[in-house]
Parts: sequence; structure tokens; C-alpha cells
Amino acid sequence: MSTMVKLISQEGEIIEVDQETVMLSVLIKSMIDDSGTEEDIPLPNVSKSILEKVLEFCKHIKEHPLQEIEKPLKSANLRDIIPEWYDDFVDVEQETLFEVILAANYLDIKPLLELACAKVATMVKGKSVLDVRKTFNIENDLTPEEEAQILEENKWAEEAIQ
Amino acid sequence: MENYCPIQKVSPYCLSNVFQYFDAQELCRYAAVSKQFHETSQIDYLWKALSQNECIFIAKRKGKTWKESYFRKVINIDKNMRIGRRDPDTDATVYNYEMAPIREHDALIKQVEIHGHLVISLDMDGYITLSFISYADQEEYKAHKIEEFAQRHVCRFHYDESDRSLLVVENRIDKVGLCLYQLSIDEDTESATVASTVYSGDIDIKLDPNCIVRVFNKFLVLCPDYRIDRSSESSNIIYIADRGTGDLLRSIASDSALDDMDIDTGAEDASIDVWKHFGQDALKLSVGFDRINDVILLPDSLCNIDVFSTQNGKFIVKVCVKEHRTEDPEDRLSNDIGESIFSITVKESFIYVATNLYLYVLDRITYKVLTAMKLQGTPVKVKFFPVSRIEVENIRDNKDELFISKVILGFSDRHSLAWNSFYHTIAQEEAKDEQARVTTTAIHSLKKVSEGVLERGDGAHYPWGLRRPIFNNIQASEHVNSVDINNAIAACAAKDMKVSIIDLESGQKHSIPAGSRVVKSYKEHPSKPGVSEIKISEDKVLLVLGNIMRVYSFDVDI
Repeated sequence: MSTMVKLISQEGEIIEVDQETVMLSVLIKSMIDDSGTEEDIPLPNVSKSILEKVLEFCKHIKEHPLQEIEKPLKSANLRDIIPEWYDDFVDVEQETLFEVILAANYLDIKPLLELACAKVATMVKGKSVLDVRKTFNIENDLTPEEEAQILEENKWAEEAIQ
Repeated sequence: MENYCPIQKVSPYCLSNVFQYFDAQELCRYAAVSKQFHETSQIDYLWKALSQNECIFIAKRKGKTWKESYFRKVINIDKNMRIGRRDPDTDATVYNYEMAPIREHDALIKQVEIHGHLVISLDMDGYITLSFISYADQEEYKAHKIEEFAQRHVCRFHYDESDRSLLVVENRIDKVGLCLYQLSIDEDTESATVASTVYSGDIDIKLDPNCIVRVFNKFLVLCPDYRIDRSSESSNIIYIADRGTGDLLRSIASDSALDDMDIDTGAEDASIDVWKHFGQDALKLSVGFDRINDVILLPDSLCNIDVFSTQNGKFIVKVCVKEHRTEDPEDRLSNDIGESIFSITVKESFIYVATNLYLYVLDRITYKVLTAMKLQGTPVKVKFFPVSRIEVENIRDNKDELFISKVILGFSDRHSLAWNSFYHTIAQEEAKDEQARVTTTAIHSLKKVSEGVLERGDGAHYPWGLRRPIFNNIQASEHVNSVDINNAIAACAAKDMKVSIIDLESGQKHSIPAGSRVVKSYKEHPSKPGVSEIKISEDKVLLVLGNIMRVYSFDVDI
């Protein structure tokens, strides 16, 4: 029988999970290595709903390994690149997606971070700068001078490598 | 919630994980989205990661960022040398370069090497010239002539870039003269000169005029040319001297070598520490058949392998000249092959032997054939472009394979040139040791690769794989005099003054003018008329036309 560990979410709720599943997280693994499985593991930066989603990923990848996603991306459609389950997994609201990225970064779960970031990259790929701002509701905080300078800096390069 | 922007919660460092999926154009374009995006796009390792992901070999220059180095490589060098650009006026593809004509020799040029901006050339009269191509204006150069050897019998020079030493070897029939110079390269004045003479002396040995001169590590090897009938006594002896002192260390009768025997070098004789320079990483080397750019002229009947090595204090000469064949490719070399051997190169833990049928990869320590790859065409050259250890270690560790070096094979008959390139990879795999414990051959065991002990178990799992094979043919209109290959292009020079440059990735071909076919302002080489030799470096193509050279620099702004 596998050893269970207790994770404490941002809200203070306890989620019990088997040790093997959470060892994908470098952070949790190092905490277990340091303090053993007896002690609860506080994860103040991760909400319960996101933690559950992260654990769902960890359980799935154990049985269905995810191949590394090729960089740079060859397609703006993630389903062309990865299995359907993983594509569905990150087909979520932006808020959830970025929460997953932050959680994966904090917990140091590389495959999850790469998957979620690849999803964001597909949402950017092929779009104009204006469309990207619109997609992510980004306010243009660059001054006209800064924007002009950036465009000038990169224009020649972008044209040259076409 | 109208202005709610969840992406802003992510730091630029974290966002760089998204940017790693972008290509160069996207990295530039999306810098203009916001300050957050701009800051992320300025993270320099993204450009390093991009070059690795795209398998672009970039030599990062001191003081330059990875982004600058990427663009210098992709835009300047690649555009100018390989891909070209469309001229909006003529709609033609143009290739930009600057050309320096080097006219420092009256006699035919016998040997030439290019090291960055330094061109070292030797002519038939024995003059050696150091020509330094200007950084600022690559159509200009400064030359320094070493005149000490004029009218004498310089047969070859060897330049060691690591310590900037130049060894000059003279074959004076009754003795061999050796002279080692320390060169001084001044990047400010853009010149190369002789700073001092380390030693100068003679060795009382007789060599054939066609003797082959090679330098391997700290050793100078002088040996008979196996392609020529050996009638005289003197031509059957292989001499080995210390490159650093000029002392003769050893002479070996090649008749005994032909018997494929181990020669005790006297390692037990404490008075002679002949092999003090050899460690476990001792060199294995080939002699006799890989003359630079001369290999396409090898007779078909050649089937010699000479591999010198040291193992446990012994010096071993292996020469395989037998006609024996077996059906199993893995046994061929160990049983001596009957194939014509065109090139041997030693790199890291492996010996690569290109024959007319196969590319063999041998374990450097055991000589066991690890694998054999069927080739198309007749190979002329095997070249290796290893990724540095640091780069390898930086490659993502969740990949199931590691890419350790790029191999380029060149093929040619006298009228065509073809090539094949592939990558070595190391697979991550698990193995069980004697106690049945699972051990992983992982990225951190890279060290083992260089020690040649990566392969485990029954040897069924080869520690390398084949990727991205390319095979293309180019027909030359006339006799091909010379070919060369680097990690990006192949080039061949022909009698009709045509110099073809082929992009190894796309197969796209272009040519550069080597001069007029009608008006010849140079002394024509008797056996290699037209462009007699071609050399390519990372960003330069050097042509030899009899007694003159033309250096085309493709690292120019466009």
C-alpha cells in the first residue's frame, strides 16, 4: 500500500494523496525528503481547486507519459501536437490556466508548466500584437516612444529572417 | 472585471516558459505587446534555447549576447552564405560577401589553412605567408612572409590554434628539418607575425619526397605514402617525433606494422618515457590516406587502415590490407575489411571510418564496431562538429535523447558531390548492474561517453541514433578538383572555375565567381587547373588558384 501525504491548500483544507503521485513536484519531493511523510505539507500559494487540478495531472501523467512538446511550436493547434486528454486538460478559462502555470512554477512540476505554457503560446501564435492584447486583455503600458523603439529594434530582424 | 488580466500575475521569468515556444520572428514581434512582454523577450537565454531547439550552432562571441550572436549567424552568415536574399530590383537571389585577393606567392600554392581571419599558405618555393584578413574591411589583409625556407624543401606546416605555434617540416632527402615558431596575432593592428623561434634543428633520417607528414596531439608522424609502390628501403619506415622539441622518438618498420602486430615501445624502459604525453585519452590516429582535399583522387584499390594508439603503455599499429570479407558488418573491421577506406576521424570515444560502402563507428578503446551505416555514393570526407559540453549539459533533461555531435559525410566521384549529415544522440536508458539494481544511463553520465564506456550489457543498444539524414547530388560540369564541408555548407571547386556552394539543410545551391575563364592572372596548377583547392570555415570560403588565393567573407552586414 502506498504512503499517503497530506497537502494543505491556500484555504487550509487538507488533501490526501499518495506519495508517488506528488513526487512529480520537485518542491514537495524535497519537503518529503527533508521532513518525511508524517508532517503535513503546507502549500500556501495554491488554492484547493488548482491543487486538485494539479493532482489530476500528476495522476494522469503517471499512466500516460507526455512527450516533450517540440520547440518552437509547429502548430497553433495543441491537439496536433499532444494527446487529446492533455489538450482538454488545459482548455480552461484563462484565469485557471495562469493559476495552473503559477502553481506548476511554484511546485516545480516541469511537464505541467511546459504543457500550460504551450497552451498559452498557441493562444499567441499567429496573432498580431493588437490581437494578443485583446486575447489576454492586456493594456498597452508602453509609451508611444517605447513602442516605436521596440518596433524599430525588431523590424529589421523580423524582416531579415523571413 | 472588465480590465482583469490574469497573464499579468505571471513574472517575466515565468512567462519566458511561454516564449520558449516562439520562433525568432515571434520573439521579436511580441516584444511590442506590453512592458511585461518586452521584458520577457529581453531574457537572453531564450535565444540560446532557440538556437539549441533549432539545432543552430552558434559561436557566441565575447561581449555579445545570445540574441546578437543568433542574428549574426542567422542573418549575416546564413543569409549570405547559404540562403541568400531576394534582390527587390532584379528579383534574383543574391549572396553578399567581401573578397580579399591574396597575391603573395610567385610559385604554386602547396598547402593552405584558414583559422578565423588568419590564412597560412605555403608555396612550392618554400615560402610561408601569414595573411590576416581585416575585420573592418574584409577585402583587405596584411601579409607577413617567412622567408627562411626559401629554395629549400618545406613539405608541410602545422598550425596549432590553441597555442598559436607553427611547425614547419622540411624534407631535405638526407635529413628532416624541423622548426617551431611562436606566432603573434595582434587583433588591434590586424596582423600575424612570428614572435619567436621555439626550436630549429635537423633529424638524420631519409624520407621519400612523397612522405606524408601529420601532427597528432604532441607528435609529428612522418610515414610513407601507402598509395605509392614502396621500392626503396627508406620509404618503409614510420618516424615519430616530439612536436614540441623536435626530438625523434621512434622509428617503426612498416613491414612489421603490416603484420598487424603490437609493438612494445619500451614502456618498461624507464629511461625512455616516450608516451609521457599519452593518458587514457590517448590519441588514435590515421595516416596515409586522408590528405586534405586530396582524397577524391585515391585509387579504388586502396584499403589500408593505419590506427596508432597507446594502450597500457604499448604502441599499437594496426594496418588492415587484407581482402577478407564477412557478411556481418559488425565483424568487418575487427576481421580486417576489404573495402576502400576514404577517411578516418577520431572524436571523443569513437573512431569513424568511411569506406566505399559503410560508415563504421568503432569504440575508441576496444576497436569494436558499434554500428555500420550503409552509405550512398563514394565518401570523401567525414567531419565532426561536436556541441560543447556546456551546451550539452544545458539541453533539457526530460528529452529521451541527447544530441552530442553533428557528423557530415561528403561523397564524390570526379564529377559530383553529395553529402549526408546526421546527429549523434545518447538515449536515456535503464540498465541493471551485477546486483540487479537499476541504474540509469542519464544525462549526468555524459562523462562516460568521452570515456567510451556508455554501452552496457549485450551491446544491443547503440548509444547513438540517426537523425535528419540528407542526401543530395550536385553534378559538376567539369572535373572536380577539391571539396570541403563544414556544419552548414558543402562546396566544390572545379576545373571550369566554378565554385558551387550547397546549403546542407535545404540543398539550395549557388555559385561564386572564381575569376575569368579566359584571362588567367595566375599560374595554373598543372594537375588541378582552374580552382585547385577550396577550404571553408564558419563564415569564409578560401579558393586557391595556382599561386593566388581568394578569401570570400560572408560575415558581412546586409
